[in-house]
Amino acid sequence: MAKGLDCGTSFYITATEDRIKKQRNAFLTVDGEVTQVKRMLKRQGIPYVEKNKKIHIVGQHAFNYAQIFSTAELKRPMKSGLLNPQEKDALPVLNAIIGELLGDAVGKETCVYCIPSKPIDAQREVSYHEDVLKTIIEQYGYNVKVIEEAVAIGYEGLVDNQLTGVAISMGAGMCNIAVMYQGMTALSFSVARGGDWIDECVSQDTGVSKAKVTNIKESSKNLNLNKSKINDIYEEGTEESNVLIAIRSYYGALVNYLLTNLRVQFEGIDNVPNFPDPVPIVIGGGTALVTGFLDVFNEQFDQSEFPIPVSEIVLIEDAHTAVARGCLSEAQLAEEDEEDDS
Amino acid sequence: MLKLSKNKMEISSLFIYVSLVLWQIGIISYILLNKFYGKNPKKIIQRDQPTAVEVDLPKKKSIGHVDVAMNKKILMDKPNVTNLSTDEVIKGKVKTQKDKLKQMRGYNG
Repeated sequence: MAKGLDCGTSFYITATEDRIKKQRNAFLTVDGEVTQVKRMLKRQGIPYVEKNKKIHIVGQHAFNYAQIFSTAELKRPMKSGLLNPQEKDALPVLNAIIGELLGDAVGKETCVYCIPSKPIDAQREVSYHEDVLKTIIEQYGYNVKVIEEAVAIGYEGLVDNQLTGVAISMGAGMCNIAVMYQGMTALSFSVARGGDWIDECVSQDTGVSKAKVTNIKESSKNLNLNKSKINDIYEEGTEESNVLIAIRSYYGALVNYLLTNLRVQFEGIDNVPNFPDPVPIVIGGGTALVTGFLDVFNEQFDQSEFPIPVSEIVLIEDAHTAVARGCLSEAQLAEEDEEDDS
Repeated sequence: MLKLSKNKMEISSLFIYVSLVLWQIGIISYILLNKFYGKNPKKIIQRDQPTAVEVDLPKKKSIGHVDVAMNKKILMDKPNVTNLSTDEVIKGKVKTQKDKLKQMRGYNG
């Protein structure tokens, strides 16, 4: 059975034809005597990973612990869309997460995973990240293929426009952009800013911890970036209202950064494809999930400065799983091609 | 008195004799030294000044760097995992654009 895997900074998501599985990409190392800690976690039914005499709580449990115990440091195997260079224990945790989501392959199964495009604002290469993920997935017995994250968004959002347009994946660690023309990628790049950047900036400006800002952003029922809604809470003066106002402001800054860099990159390439007709901009990814996101995007978008005529700006249905579903489509087609060849 | 003047005469003649010998030795030494260790005038040796000659040096081709794929063999053990369960599972048919993509690829060749 073909599988698509979205390797995100905040979540790992797999898609198969009959289900979607999500695992938070975070962990927490538990201090103390190993045997005692293991016994305690087993008793409470808390999942953990053991490597080199260290015990790590993985996934949502780790996230919940970090919310409750402010001293507990939530660790991230990935940072800014790539493997976290500061995190020594990242690989065993990633291995465990991927193993849990994919399971062992049964027969000839294909897994397509995604990688970010090369960032334009960070001195990082994607190759090592790509190789590590490939090695882990192959350990579970899959035929492995890789595609760019923004292209996966294009496979979900641009099919009705002959795979022509602009695909944007707004993730936690980075934003990926691909300008596609008739299924081919004319330009792709990433910027090392995303939802985490918003959380960090808001935390610095409001004095609220980053973990709490993330929690408010992901779970607050009040979070609506529509201008009128923000104006309503302006008078409240509570901690949460301050956070919400700051979140809206930084969402605007992020979209502006993205659009400005897209324009500059587009002006810098040779052989720019000519788009005679207006094309859509399709957006996916967890950072675009917040209510009112398109409002903010439209506020920042200025057609007169944008290098391509744009017909519409669309948020893909179920934006959080769009990358995984794009990878799944590619995996299913790869398996069908193999069946046809044999 | 006569004997005394005779002695004086002998002494003065001896003095004259010795002084003549010494002068002779001095003059001969001067002549010999001048002959063998006389000042050598500095000889100016004319040498040809080397001049720059234009030659065609073998030219290096300007070759850009070649990028290669990493494809590292990364060694990794599976970790010991206990109780790990997926945070969220959404069951049901997953909607994808596979059929449209397939149609498009077939059409595009």
